[in-house]
Amino acid sequence: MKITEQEFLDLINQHKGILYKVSRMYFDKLDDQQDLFQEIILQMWKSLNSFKGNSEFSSWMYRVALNTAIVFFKKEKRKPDKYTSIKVEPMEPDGYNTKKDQQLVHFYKAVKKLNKIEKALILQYIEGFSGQEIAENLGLSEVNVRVKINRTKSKLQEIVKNQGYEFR
Amino acid sequence: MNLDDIKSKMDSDNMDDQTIPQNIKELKTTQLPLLKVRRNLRNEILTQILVFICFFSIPIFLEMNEIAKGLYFILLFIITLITITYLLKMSTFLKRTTDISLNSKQVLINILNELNLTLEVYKTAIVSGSLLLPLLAFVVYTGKAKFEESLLYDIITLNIGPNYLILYIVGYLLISILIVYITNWWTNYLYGKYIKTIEKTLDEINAA
Repeated sequence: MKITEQEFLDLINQHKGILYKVSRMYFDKLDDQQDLFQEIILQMWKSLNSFKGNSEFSSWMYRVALNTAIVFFKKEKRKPDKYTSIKVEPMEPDGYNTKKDQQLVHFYKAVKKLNKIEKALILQYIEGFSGQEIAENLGLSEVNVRVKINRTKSKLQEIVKNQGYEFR
Repeated sequence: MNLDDIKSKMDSDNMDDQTIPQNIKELKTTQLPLLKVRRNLRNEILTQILVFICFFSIPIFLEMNEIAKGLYFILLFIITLITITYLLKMSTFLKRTTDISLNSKQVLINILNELNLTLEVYKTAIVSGSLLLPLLAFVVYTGKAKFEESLLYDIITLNIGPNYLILYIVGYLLISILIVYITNWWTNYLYGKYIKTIEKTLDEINAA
């Protein structure tokens, strides 16, 4: 794809939400999110030639963003987290207002317990990707993707329950 | 759990924390394992070459006999040449990129292969450059002014007893094995974590 740097950045800006969600799914601390956010932009710029226009730019962007997050190497400084069913105090990830939305906070907190592949699966599922699209993005069979999604959803549900929170 | 709810909340989440840079140059250097490892390896080999170049000045500070000096420079020249050759080989190799827009499994497999290949080339470069170092140290020691010049000459022409010959050969082999062992250990210590992380993620994706 032949576009100028400014056109590329404008295009990224239009789909900024994708980068935000991926960074937010993979890291809890704001610094780490920002590093991943930047890394994704860098990798997109470097691999722009691989976008042939056969699919939506946003789909390609999702794939590069998730792959970058999967292979991104940075040790996250973990906050103390007991993962018990005892009363849970709202734990606020950096830069995040828990009062604003408890449900999202608990969701992101639960997502922390998933591995990198499970995070990619659940995010694509939430975003409404079809089984076939997810399978193509991850390099798995559709059957395998269905099994994994069900398993990940159950795992997520269990984690949220153990946090002492119920989604309604 | 209602994931539809989560989606709409994610969509309306405040994204002010993240800003798009004005230009690409503003972005930080990459944190991807393969690129990080390659950057470090290039710096390490460049440092090694600089150290070898510094070695050229050793005879200026140490009194050595003429045979020792000659041998020293020949060996050092060969070591530097081997390392530079590997660096040149690596520099073209280090420019190879991995297409991150393939499917995740393929990206992980490619990165793992590239990482293993990069580290193997690096280990070969270090070992080949270092295998002559024990000889260099031996020449510096036996070439000191306090020793007779004939000592080194006798060793070169193998005018020594079989016991000494066996001792030198076994000694050299042991030191060589140690060099290979230390290089492997050092490489795994510094870069093994990257390989383990990628392998772990690949296992996660392959898990049925």
